Formats: sequence, C-alpha cells, structure tokens
Amino acid sequence: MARVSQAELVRVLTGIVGADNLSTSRPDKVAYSADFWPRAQIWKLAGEVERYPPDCVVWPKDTAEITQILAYCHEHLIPVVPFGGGSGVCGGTVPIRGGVVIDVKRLRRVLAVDPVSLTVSAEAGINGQHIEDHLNAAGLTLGHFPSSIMCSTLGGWLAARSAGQFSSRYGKIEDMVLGLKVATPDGAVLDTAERAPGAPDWTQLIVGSEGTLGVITEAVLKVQPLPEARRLRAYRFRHLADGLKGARAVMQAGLRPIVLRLYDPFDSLMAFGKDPEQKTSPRTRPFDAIRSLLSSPSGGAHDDAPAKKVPGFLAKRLEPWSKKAKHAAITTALSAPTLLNRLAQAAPSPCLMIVGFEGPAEAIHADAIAADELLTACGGVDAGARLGESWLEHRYAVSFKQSRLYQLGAFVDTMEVATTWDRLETLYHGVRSALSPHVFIMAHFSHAYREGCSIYFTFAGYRKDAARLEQHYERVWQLATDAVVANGGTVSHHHGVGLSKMAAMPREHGEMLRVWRALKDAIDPHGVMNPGKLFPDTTEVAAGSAGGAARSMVRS
Amino acid sequence: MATPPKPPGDENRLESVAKATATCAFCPSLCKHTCPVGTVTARESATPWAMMSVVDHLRTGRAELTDTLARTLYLCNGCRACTDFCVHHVDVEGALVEARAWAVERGVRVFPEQRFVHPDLTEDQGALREVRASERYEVRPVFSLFPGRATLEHTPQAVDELLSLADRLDVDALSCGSAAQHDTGYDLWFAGHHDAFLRQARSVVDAVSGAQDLVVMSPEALYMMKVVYPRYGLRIGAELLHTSEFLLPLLSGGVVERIPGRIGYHDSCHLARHLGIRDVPRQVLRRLLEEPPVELPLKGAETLCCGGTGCLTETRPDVAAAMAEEVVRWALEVGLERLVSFSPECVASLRDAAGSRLRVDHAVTLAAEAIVSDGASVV
Amino acid sequence: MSSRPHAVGYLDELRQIVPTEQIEPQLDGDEGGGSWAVEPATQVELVEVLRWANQRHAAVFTRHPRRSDAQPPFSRRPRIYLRGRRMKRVKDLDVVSGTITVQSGITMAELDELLGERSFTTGFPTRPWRQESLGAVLAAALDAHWGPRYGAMESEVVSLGVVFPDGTAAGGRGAPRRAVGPDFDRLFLGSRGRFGIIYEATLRIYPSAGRVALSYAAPDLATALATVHAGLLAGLDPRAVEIVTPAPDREWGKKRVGLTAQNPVLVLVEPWGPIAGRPVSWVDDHFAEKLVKLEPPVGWNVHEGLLPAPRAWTAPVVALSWRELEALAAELGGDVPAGLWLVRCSEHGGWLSVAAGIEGQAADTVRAALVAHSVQKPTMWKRIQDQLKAELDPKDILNPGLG
Ligand SMILES: Cc1cc2nc3c(=O)[nH]c(=O)nc-3n(C[C@H](O)[C@H](O)[C@H](O)COP(=O)(O)OP(=O)(O)OC[C@H]3O[C@@H](n4cnc5c(N)ncnc54)[C@H](O)[C@@H]3O)c2cc1C
Ligand code: SF4
Ligand code: SF4
Repeated sequence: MARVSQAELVRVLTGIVGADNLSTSRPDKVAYSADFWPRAQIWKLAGEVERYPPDCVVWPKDTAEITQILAYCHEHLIPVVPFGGGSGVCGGTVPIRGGVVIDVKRLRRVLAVDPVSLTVSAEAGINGQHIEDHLNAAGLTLGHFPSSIMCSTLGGWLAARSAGQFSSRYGKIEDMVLGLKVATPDGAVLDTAERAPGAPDWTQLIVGSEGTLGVITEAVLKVQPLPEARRLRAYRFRHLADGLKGARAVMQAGLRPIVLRLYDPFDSLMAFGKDPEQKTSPRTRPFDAIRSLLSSPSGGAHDDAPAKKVPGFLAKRLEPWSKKAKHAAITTALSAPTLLNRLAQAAPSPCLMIVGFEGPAEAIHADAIAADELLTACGGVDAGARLGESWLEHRYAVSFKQSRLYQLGAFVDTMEVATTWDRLETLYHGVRSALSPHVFIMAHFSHAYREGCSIYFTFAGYRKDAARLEQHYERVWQLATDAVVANGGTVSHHHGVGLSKMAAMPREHGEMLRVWRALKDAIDPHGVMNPGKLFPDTTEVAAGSAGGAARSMVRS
Repeated sequence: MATPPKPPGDENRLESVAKATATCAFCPSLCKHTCPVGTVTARESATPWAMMSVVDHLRTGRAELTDTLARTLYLCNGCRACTDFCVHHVDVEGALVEARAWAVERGVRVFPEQRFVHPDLTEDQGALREVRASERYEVRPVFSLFPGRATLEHTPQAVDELLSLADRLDVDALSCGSAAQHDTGYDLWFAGHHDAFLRQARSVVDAVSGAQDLVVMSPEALYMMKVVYPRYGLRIGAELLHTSEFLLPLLSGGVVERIPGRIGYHDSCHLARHLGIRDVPRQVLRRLLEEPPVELPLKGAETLCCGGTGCLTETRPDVAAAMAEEVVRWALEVGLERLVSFSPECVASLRDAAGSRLRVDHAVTLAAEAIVSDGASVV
Repeated sequence: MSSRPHAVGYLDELRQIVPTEQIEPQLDGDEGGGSWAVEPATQVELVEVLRWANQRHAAVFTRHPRRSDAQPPFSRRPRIYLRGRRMKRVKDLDVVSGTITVQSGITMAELDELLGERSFTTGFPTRPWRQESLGAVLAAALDAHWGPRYGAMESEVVSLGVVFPDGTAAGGRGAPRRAVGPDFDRLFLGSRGRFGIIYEATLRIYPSAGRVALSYAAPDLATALATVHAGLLAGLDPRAVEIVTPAPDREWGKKRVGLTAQNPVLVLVEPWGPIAGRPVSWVDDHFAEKLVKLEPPVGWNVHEGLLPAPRAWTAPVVALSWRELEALAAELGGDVPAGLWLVRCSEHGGWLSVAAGIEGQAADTVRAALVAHSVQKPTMWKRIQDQLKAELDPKDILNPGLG
C-alpha cells in the first residue's frame, strides 16, 4: 500500500481513462472544489473559489474504467469522491481530503425502456431532465421532479435519496428504484437486484450512501405512462393546524395526489403574494423587498390576479424604492430577523395549499372531488385552479432567486425535515422558535405521506463580512438540527447529509450506526470512498496519502 | 438581460456584464441540462454556470487571467439555450463574447485572430459564380440574395436550387452582387477579436447598401445583420428576410408534388432562438411534405445545438462533432428517415455526423424537389 | 470431560437474568452445553440474555429446536431458543399518524385482533401466518400478498428496534421517509435473524372498514393477466389483485366458488374504496366485461381454502415483470396448472409461485420460469454478508449455521 506522488497518480489514471479524460487544470479544480452547499457559496463570497480542490478529476467512460480507478485508489489509499451533477446542497462532493473526483456524467445512456412492464434502465450519470426527455419521447415519465432536475443526475438522486415534487404519488427515488449496480473499491461491481433468499434488501442499503460505499453506475427504475390529464387546485386555510388536518385526511383516505403542499402564512405570502383580501401595511416593506427577492420571479399567481390591484395611493407609497434603500432594508432586516419574523407574523395571511392529481381523466376527477370534500370539512376554502396551475408553471422558478441574495452578501439555505403527523406541528414551532432570533425563516409542508410529512424550511441570514457570515451560518445550523432532534424529527427528508448534517448523525441513528461501520468495513475497508462525509466516525484515510494530504475540514 | 457591448479597449468591459456573471456565479447551475457543450463533454467547467463564474472570478479578482482560464471561455457555442431557459434571461453568449474580447485586449489570445478570418470568396469558389451570374437581373433587384459564406461553402447546391426555384416561380430578381462574397465576421466577433470584426462588418454593410429586401440564407449571418451589427451602431438599410420567409409566400403559387416519408425538422439555434423564426420554416415544410414534419423531442425554442455554429468547429472540433452526434441520435430514436434544416451550418455538421445512417438535407433542396412548376404555367 | 456440570451452572446464571418460569429446558445430548427455550419478558431481559450468550459463547436461535442442533457443530455450546411470546406489549398506537409500535413477540393473529377492535388493520396478510410472531414474519421477509398499495412487506415497516448480538439495543422512531444514509433497518428485514433480534417494530396501519373483495373467473392465464393489466393501467389502483388456480384436491371449493373447467382461473380484486381509487362499480364493470363474475364474491379467507396447504409452498416466490408474465402466459396457452398463485400485481408485474407436487407440463413450464427468474446462489453479496456477520456477530452467537 505504497503512497503515490501526484505525478504517478496522474500517470496511472491517464492510462485508464486517457489524457483527454483527466484534468488537473485550474478551471476544473475550481469547478469541482464544491457543490451548492450554501457554506461553499459563503467561501466564494469571501473570495475563496477553491478551498478544497481535488488533486485531479477523471471522466471515465464506463463501469470498467470506474472499477479500475477504484481498485487503484483503494490500493494506494487515495480519496475518491463520486460526482454527479454537483447540485448537492450539503457539501457531499466537496473533496475535503483532495484525491480523485470521479465525474460519472459520461455514463449517460438510457439502456432500455420497457413500456410493457413500465421500467427503465439507465446509466447513473444521466442528467435528470435528459432521462425524463427520453422517457417522454416514449410516452412515459419517471414522475421524479426535484427542483434540481435540470442540474442533478440519476446517480446523485440515488446516492442522496432525492425526492421530487410529485413524491406523494410516485414516492421518492428509493421507492422507484428496483435495482442498481455499484462499483466498489475492491474492483467489483455489485448488482442489488441479486437478492438471494434470506438476504436483506441490498438496494436500500446502498441507496443513500452518498458515495461513501461505491460508485453507482446503473439503475433500473419504475416508470409511469404519461398521464392523460392533470388537475391542480389551491385551498386557503385560516390556520396552519386546519391545513395540516386536511392534508392528513387526504393522505389517510388513500387518495394519491401528485402534490399536496401547504405553505405556512409567511411562505404563502412569499410564494403567492399578498392575499388580495388583506390590507397592505407599509410596515412590511422590508418583508416585501425580501419577497421580491425570494419569491418566483414572474410573480406568484396573485401578481396577475385581477384582485391584486392595489389602490393607486397605496401603490405609490409602496413602489418608489430605490435599489440602495431596498438593499439596505434587506440587509438590516436580515441582521435583526426577530423583528422581520414578527412583522411577517403581524401581517396576517392564510395558509395556502396546492393539491393536484394526475392520471386517467375520470379517475382524477373523482379524486379531486373526494379531496375537495375532505379539505372543505377541515376548513379549507377553495381558491381556484389558477393558483394551482400557476404553482406548476413556476415550480422551478424559486431556485433562480437565491443568487440575488448572495449578491447582497447574505446566505439562504433550506432544511427539509420530516416526522409523523402527531409531531409535525410541534416540530414546526420548535424549529421556528429556535431560528427566529437569528434568521428570517419560513416553511412549507410538502411530500405528504400516509403517516407523516416533511417540512421544508427556508431561511436567510446576513452578516457584514463573510467570515462572520460563515460563523453565523454554522451556528444557525447547529441550532436548527438541535431543534429537529429535540422535537423528534429526522434532520433530512431528501437533501442528504454530506458535511452539513454529519454532526447530527449519532443522535439520528444511535447505535444503528454499527450497521454503517460494518457495511463500510465490508465494502470500503480502506475508507477511500468520499472520506469524511455522511457519518463522522468512518475509517479515516491515513494522513499523507497521495496529494490528498490530510487537509482538515473546517478551518474556522 | 441583454449585454450592451463596449467599445474596444474599454476597461469596463467586464463591469458591463457584472450583473450577469454574478447572477450565474451564485446560481445552482439551473440551466445545465440545456447546454449541449456541458452535456457532451460531461464537464462542469464547460457549463454556462462555470464559464460565467470564471468571468465573475476574473472580474472580482478572485482569479487571475491565464491561458487556461481564458480557454474555458471558448467552450460556449453561443446557442443561447441557457439564456432561453434562465428566468433572468442572462445573456451568457454576450457576456462571454465580452469576456473573450477583454482577454484578447489583454493579450491573452489562446486562439489567434487568423483562425477566424475568412477571406472574401473568389468567383471560382462554389456557387458564388452562380450568384454573381444572376446579375443578369437588375443591378439592385427587389430581392437580393445573401447566401452567406457558410452556405456557399457547405451547401452550394442549395444556392443553385434557390436560384432555379426563383426562376421557376417567376421571381425575377435575386442577386446581391459582390456582397455575396463577404463573410459577416461572426467568428471574429464570437472569438473576441473585435477590431477585425468591426472592419469586416463595415465592409459588409457597405457591400449590401442599396439592397431593398435582402434574403439571407445563413441564420448566423442573419443574426449578425439583424442583431449584432446594430449593437455596434452598424445598420443595414435593407429589409432582412430569411430564406423560409422568402419561400413561404411563393409556395402558394407553385405546384407541389408532396414528398412522402418520416421527415423531421431541425431548428437551427440562430433561427429558432436568436431570431425567433420557428413557425415559418414549419409552414414551408408543411406545404412540401405529405405528412407534417416529425418533431424532434428538443424542438423550437428548446432546440439542441448541433455544434455547427459558434466556433467550436474551429476550437474544439471533437466537441462540435459530439454535439452533432447527439442530434442525430435523437433523430434516429424517433425513427426519422430524413432530417432537414434551413441552416447550412447545421446541414454540414449533421451530415458529417449522420454518415449513411440518416439523410440530411437543406430545406431548400426539399422545396426544389417538391415544386414542379409555378402555378401559372400549368393553367 | 462431560460438560453437563457447565450446563447446570449456565442454568443458574440464566435464572439470574429471567425468572425460572421463563426458562424451559430442551432436549440436549450428553455432551451438550445445555439447551433452553428462554422467554424474555422485557427488552432489558432480552439484552441481558444476549450479553450472557456472548460471554458464554452460546448459540442463540430464533427458531424451533431441531434434533440436529444437539449434534456438532453446536453440541458443545449452550443453546438458547428465544421465544418472544412474553414480549407483545403495544408501546404506542398512534391513530393520528396511522402507526403502531409493538413488541415483536405478538402473533399476527393477536395483532390483527387487537387492531380489529379499533377498526384498523395492518398491511400484512395475516391469515397464512396466524401463529407466527411479528418478529418472525419480519425477519423472514415473507411477502405481503395484498398488493400494490401496500407494496412489499418492507414498505409496511416505519422503523425497527433491534438488539445486536452483543446486547446493544438500537433503533427508534422512524420518519415517513429519510435521507440520512442507507436504510439500516433493512439489514434485519428478511435476513432471518443473522444480524440482530428485532424486538419491536413500528408498522403502518389502515382503517379496516369498508373492505370489499370482488372475484371473477377467467378461461386462461393470458386473459386473466390481460384484464388485470389493462385495469391497472386504467387507474384501478387497488388494495390488492391476485390470480389463483386452486389446488387439485380442492374440487369442492372450486365448485362452491363457481370455478369451472372452462373458467378455471380465479381473479380476486379488492378496490381501495370507499373514497380513493376507482369506485367498486367501475372495477366491477371492467372485470365483468371480460371475465365471469363470481357470486357471491370469494372472500380472502375462503380463497385461502382454495390454495394448497402452506407446506406445499416450497418453490420460491419470484418477481416477474409484465413482459415476462405475458410471455409465460403465451407459452402456457389454454393449459394452466393448478396451485398457481400470482400476488401483489402492480403496474410493473407481480410475484409468482406454484405449489409443490403439481404435475403436468404446465406446472413444469411455470417451475422452469421460476427457476429462470430467481436469483442464483451464491451472489456477489455473499462475501459482504459474511463480513457483516463477522463484524456484527464476531462470536457467531445469533442463529449460527445459517451461512
Ligand atoms: C436549486 C436546488 C434545488 C434542489 N431541489 C431538490 C429537490 O427538490 N429534491 C431533492 O431531493 N434534492 C434537491 N436538491 C438537492 C440535490 O439536487 C440532490 O441532493 C440531488 O440528489 C443531488 O444529485 P447530483 O447528481 O447533483 O449529486 P451530487 O451533488 O454530485 O452528489 C451528491 C452526493 O452523492 C454522491 N454521488 C453522486 N453521484 C454518485 C454516484 N453515481 N454514485 C455514488 N455516489 C454518487 C456524491 O459523492 C455526493 O455525496 C436541490 C438542489 C438545488 C441546488
Ligand atoms: S444563465 Fe441563468 S440558469 Fe444559467 S447559470 Fe446563469 S443564472 Fe443560472
Ligand atoms: S449559449 Fe449554449 S453553448 Fe453557450 S453556455 Fe449557453 S447553452 Fe452552453
């Protein structure tokens, strides 16, 4: 198990993938030094564009090349980071120990589509939207629509247990996968579909491993015929509790909406604009400014709703805001978010719910009627189809907005937690009150299931200089995860763990982590796969290996 | 978010695109799937996000300009798929053109000017003689044909066909005289050699001055004349028409023998996205084909760039070829027998990629096949 | 040297952990290290028993004793047969979330009854395993045969509590879905008690009211499959669909439910109802159009009367896709073997098996298909499984000899 020099590493890997498919160049090191972990964006704000550069990046063309790379790195204790779309938001692909980044995106073929049995088999590096395009061309759909569908890959979804916006009907990616192939450090390729009698379900023991066990190279998934019809509607609830009751009633009746999401009053305001029935208060100006930054760009549905028309005199008082004033208002507000959070509370707004069904036209008609009855019984007021359709149309738009906040020097992050229905509200209030003094916070409840639901918190914070912003960020996450654990939730419903939630893992899993250690020892005994991620106490790569000379993770 | 170009030598070139580059640098690469270069290279560093981030890092001093960094700026093919998808409509093509010009001005010329200069064509090259010969019409006819260098180079047959079609349909004015031999300077502009580009552009403007209706065959050339030249204060007096816009009204007069088969239409980026000409070409095809043209899964404003445009054919021919292969693969996946395009650049690159697997034609060729004679002479 | 004196000492030690009435001596050889059935009543007792077993290098089984256990290689080790019958406490019946957390010693029949009283049911088919404990069912990963809405047995489990072989307890309250690494619970589902003892489980529960079963007879397998498949694609969205051909010796049963020589294939459908999914009338219209409706409908308990006895189910239950099912049906033509059972039909396929002892070409064809589509042993995972075992149970305490 000799240590190798950078030159030797490059020579050997070039021999495997060819010179064109290996890079040590600056642009690649920069591009592969981080994912979309907000903390890495803060590094960028501080002027650091490659805090953790890899020693090299390789683009293998097939599974055979991947196994050779893995076997070599395994033998020489070189860290390996599998890389899909790099859209992870938890630092999962940050090469904190340097080493080799394996970008799997050249493995991007759809291998087989079976329209009779409704399955697809594809290579792991395929872009999310691209696999959907191929399926659509065959009259099918995967039914998996994460907001990052355009910038993430099949392998990344499986590695991080991704959820799409239609998860209530089609499930998360782990519910869709029938089997997968994973290349392991000893040079083997394991197929999880080979579950012998008396063996556990290997698929579910690999899914979610975030590159720490091996490289996922292929998967077989369930698909659906393209729906004949789709229907979306919005409901308005006066109280959050009523909305949650309604959501639960729908799911537990066995209805299977594609989407069922309930926005808390603040998020309702952000996503859909002010309730036309509410009076606008000038006191909420900073809030409006943030809304314009965070909400969907073409405006939520209310923006083009005729009811929205603000009386002329009010409009005048609201409109003429210089850019600078707006900037100042936002940063000031974000520095002292308690006030803002209170203001948001003071601007009373109902909770909006989006419910949608798709499938055969008559069937969804019946489903929609049934849902309507249940929701109305819980105090929901039909807010029409247009808000629902508009949500669908703009459902990816909000992601475009975060860039603007970073440009102001602020950060914005999301935390998607989950729990059973009985604890959902407690969890919601627990996290809100823990974070309210520190960041501006709002939430929606999406990904509803029969026995529970996830809560998707969005929070934004600001400090004047980037170093303090990073500290602030870290503290906020610490408080947030503590609140989640204390209130009986899981700290991640679909973004995964990466670096950002690693510290919460011992509390999340307790002694179950033994299974992890056993798995890790059995599959990656030298600990070369994505070291320092997911769980804190995995076998560490010995210091001084390859170029990945033990760089410590957190430099704060 | 269009980028107003800066005069050459302007220190603030990068500041003028600051908003665009900063938006991308902190964006989670949301348009990644649209970028054909990012897709075929599988490289993060070749995505709109990464290229724009490089510019932003250069602008803010987070990184220093080197040959390697400058080289990545040339990976964009200017297809504008990202811009079209982006909610902010960030003009990636424009920002990168500015960044290249900025680098060139600072002496970082990873691809020297010479590679993008296309000397004027001479009479014995391709169909140029034909175009010039048709000067038998008036000196400045109502319809002047500007085939563009690419058309003359790659699909000279289409020029002949268009001329003979015009003949058959009794449009008796189609020539642009000496203007036909000029290159619009697209490559120079795109690669950031703006001094040379401006010289070239001025000569084109001079050559076509006086034309009334200019029928431009190359969508790239049309984009230059319609959109890019005006940014630099250069205006073409003539009404600019694309071949399809010229053909459509004529077809109603011609007798058509409709062409059978599974024939698909590939939108050129410049036509469909840069210029928004998406319906007219389809209407033309609908009049020529037995069945409506088969739509590719990525069509219209979402069309997939085949690598024919931009300057990848010059700087990274391997990438350009892979992009064409991607389009061909889609065409085969939906079972096409024949693929047509209105862009000579597209026809050339798709033909190369398709080999014997798929027939690729200029749409004008289809028209020439289908139109038997003009309606009047039948009567 | 005889080890009997050891055995006496062991018994004394065990009595320190659990009361004497929870220990029942089992048949042991002369050389034996002692053999007892032990019934821990609490999690603490279970933990202590395992700790003790680890110290004494005992063999701990979660199955019934076998004569061969008294032979090498276990003959010299003390042997413990864990019985869960005292661990059946319901820890939490959460009607808000629709889950129950219950200790694993409860039998399926007891669980069913307990939930039934409160108008709930589990997602498991209780009947075939009435006397099995929940723990046994989970560890054996027997497939639920109700259908697509419930999914595989694993999908019914929200979370598990397990005790590792060294006595460490782990697990807890799950969430509806998580993205915090692999799903470690899955290691224990279906692995037959190799890696740990499932002491409690949180399961999904469903309201039991309003259940209806509809039944039809089809002339052959192809027709039955085509009708089911078309229904699923049209949004049937059932609780369950099954296709059954009764055992050869169930003539009276066949007649009673209305199956004939012309229409020997039974199709059972349970719509989700009453609110969700296609309404009963729609389901009935769909099936009655192509198949012969059986009146009165065959209930789930009657249908088990049509099946061969449980011991006949030795063939593997194999997942076949619709493509594979349709190919099989085409190969069979009009000839359908008795004792065929296709369960959990979803949009993607179903799980097929055939009872042992059925003769004839059709049965041979089905068996050949099962072999062709079942997983060949040993797989690449064998090495990993062995290593997991070595790490989690270094002394090979738990269910040794399983391989
Ligand atoms: C704007 C935005 C919106 C988002 N919305 C959603 C959403 O709606 N739902 C959701 O679930 N997530 C969402 N995410 C998070 C992210 O997209 C998901 O975590 C996604 O699954 C990551 O996929 P990727 O291909 O980008 O993986 P990467 O970021 O490249 O990698 C993620 C992790 O998986 C590992 N990995 C990647 N590929 C492989 C492989 N082939 N084999 C083994 N390990 C691998 C990596 O090492 C890393 O640990 C969003 C992210 C952004 C930026
Ligand atoms: S063009 Fe738009 S979508 Fe693409 S990286 Fe830039 S901001 Fe993001
Ligand atoms: S313009 Fe086209 S080639 Fe250039 S970055 Fe955008 S999508 Fe990629």
